Amino acid sequence: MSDDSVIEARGLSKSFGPLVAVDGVDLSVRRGEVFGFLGPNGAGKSTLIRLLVGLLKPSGGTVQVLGLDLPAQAEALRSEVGYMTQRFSLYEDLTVEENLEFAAEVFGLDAGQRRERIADALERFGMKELRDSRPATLSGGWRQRLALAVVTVHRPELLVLDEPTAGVDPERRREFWAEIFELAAEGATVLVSTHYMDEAVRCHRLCMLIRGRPVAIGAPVELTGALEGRVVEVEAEPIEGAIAALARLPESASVTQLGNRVHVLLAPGGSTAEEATPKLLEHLREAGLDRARAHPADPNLEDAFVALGLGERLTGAAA
Amino acid sequence: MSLSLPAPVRRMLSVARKELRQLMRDPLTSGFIVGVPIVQLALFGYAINQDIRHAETAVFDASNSAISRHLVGQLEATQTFDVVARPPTEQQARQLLEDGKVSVIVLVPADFARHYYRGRGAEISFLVDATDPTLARAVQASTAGFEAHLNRHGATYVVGPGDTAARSAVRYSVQPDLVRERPWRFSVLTYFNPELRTPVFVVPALLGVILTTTMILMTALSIVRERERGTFEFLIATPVQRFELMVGKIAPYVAIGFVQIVIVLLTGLLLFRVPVRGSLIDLAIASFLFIAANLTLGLVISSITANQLQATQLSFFFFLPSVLLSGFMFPFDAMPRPAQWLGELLPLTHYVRMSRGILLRGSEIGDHLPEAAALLLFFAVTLALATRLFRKELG
Repeated sequence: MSDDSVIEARGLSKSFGPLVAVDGVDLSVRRGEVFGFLGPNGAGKSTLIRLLVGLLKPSGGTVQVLGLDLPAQAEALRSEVGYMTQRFSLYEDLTVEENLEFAAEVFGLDAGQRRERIADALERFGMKELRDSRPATLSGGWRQRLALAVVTVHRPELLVLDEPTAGVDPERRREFWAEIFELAAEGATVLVSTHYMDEAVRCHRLCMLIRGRPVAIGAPVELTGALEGRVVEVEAEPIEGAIAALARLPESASVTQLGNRVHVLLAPGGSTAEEATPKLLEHLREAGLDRARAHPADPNLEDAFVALGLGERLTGAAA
Repeated sequence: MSLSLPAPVRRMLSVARKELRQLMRDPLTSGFIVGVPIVQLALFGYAINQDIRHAETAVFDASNSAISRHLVGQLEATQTFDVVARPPTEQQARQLLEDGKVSVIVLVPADFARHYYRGRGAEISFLVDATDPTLARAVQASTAGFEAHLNRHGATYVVGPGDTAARSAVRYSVQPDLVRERPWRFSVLTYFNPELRTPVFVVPALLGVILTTTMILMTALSIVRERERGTFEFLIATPVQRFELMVGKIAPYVAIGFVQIVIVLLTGLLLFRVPVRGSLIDLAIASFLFIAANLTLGLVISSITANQLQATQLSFFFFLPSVLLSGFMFPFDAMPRPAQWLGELLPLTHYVRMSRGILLRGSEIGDHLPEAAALLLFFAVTLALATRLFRKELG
């Protein structure tokens, strides 16, 4: 394991009875990276994350985090990790400041450090006026910020965030991601799971998970780059008719609706997007969709998922 | 908080402080802590009054001596018995009972006085209509001490103050003050609870019942609640160790238990004049053992249940036999053997013995070593169990 490596997992697996939640994950995460887990609900993101922070015992494989063997040295890892759970896990009946205080105490900061860090956190996350509020009275976005403030109060080397922006409005999500990159810039390694493509695409590297298996690991551009020239974007009315018509074409490997547009993934080794676009348009007009428009498009992570041939969708990605 | 404390202790204190903060902030819980003792005391003290007053009694006094007449007078003075008939024959007395005209007959044999003065142990019979078991128990209770006295310290009655026999009574009596004040009375008849008032007998036991309810239920809920609300996952991802978490979680309840004890004792004293004859320190020691035993049991429950409903149900599963078999509801000695064996397994049984002993009889913790040992054993076993069952991990 190089000095540079924060996480090394080999064949990491976890089963719950007959259900295999995480299946043979090999993973290396480097220091200072913002590393994303992308996958639909139920893909095993949370289970994998819990394995990596030592809250679950693996059924198979080995994992080292910050040089510590898990699960044997899980307790030693605690003070080096800030773990933000998917479900809000702070105390609703304690105030913002008291939650920060409790975390600072149990993470072993002395009185002076506590005062300083709590003041810092309140300032940094803009929560000075909210210090005496209960989390229950805060909006989703503020609750997530508070959770981030709490799990970073001890300045962990590794920050693990399980779907930190689920259910948060886009504006707040952007702000939250700005915080993530700031923390990474200060030297923290960040592990973050999401099913939002616009978030995943910002990660330094990504692991795409489907049914507990990593189907691709790499930088977002690497993952989508392989599909260069294979995606055509179609706009048509009614969209259902267009999808049905496009699915009948031999050139299309798959047809995916993204909002009010359709992405056609062309079969590998066939015509390029440039070549296929006129053909697609003609086909659509024949099907009676006169006002349809089509043009070659940059492949996105959704296309990458589809291309992996598993037909899984990122729920909520199109929203 | 001092910096010199070792990290585990500091973490324990943090958990305890957090727990206490949450408790105090929840109006329902704080109401529970103060309200339960007061409501239960009022209920058992006023509403569920098991005192038997004015049981209609027929007396057949074949002895018809000064002592037997005095004795019957004393019986009447307790207000437990109302002498409504003095039939001329024993046969007629029994008839009155059979006809339901009276519920108790007191039979004094002809040789009572003679035996009594010779110190041979004189005997009086109480015949009780047991269709009302409460009445039968009450008569049993009130005559038990009486009988013992007649048989063992019969001489007390006839002597005046300053007599040698009076001194011997002082020596034998468990309650010397009463005897010293009025040595010519049958003080033993009114052992420990002179007027046989239910509250006096119930309050010390109720102390244990209230502690059982709050201590077990609250700890049982405290960890399950964290699981249910999702905070457990945050908590176990911190450096707080399993043992620290367990101790930090139960520590505040020790304090709360003592707050409840003070409430019960004060209410008992103010409303029912329940005495505190023994040392409060002894009571505190007994209570500490009892609270510890209950808290670790609560931890066990918390470790094996998935949600607050299950934890509550399991607590009540334990709570009911405690109330029924501990000697709180029914006299322990009157229970069938198997029920007694079960009762011996319950912490409440041992605590009821100690609290009644210390509060009413003025006994010392040293007189209750078997009970103290039983509580310690229960504590050790449940602690071991909780430590085994309590997991600081998910699923």
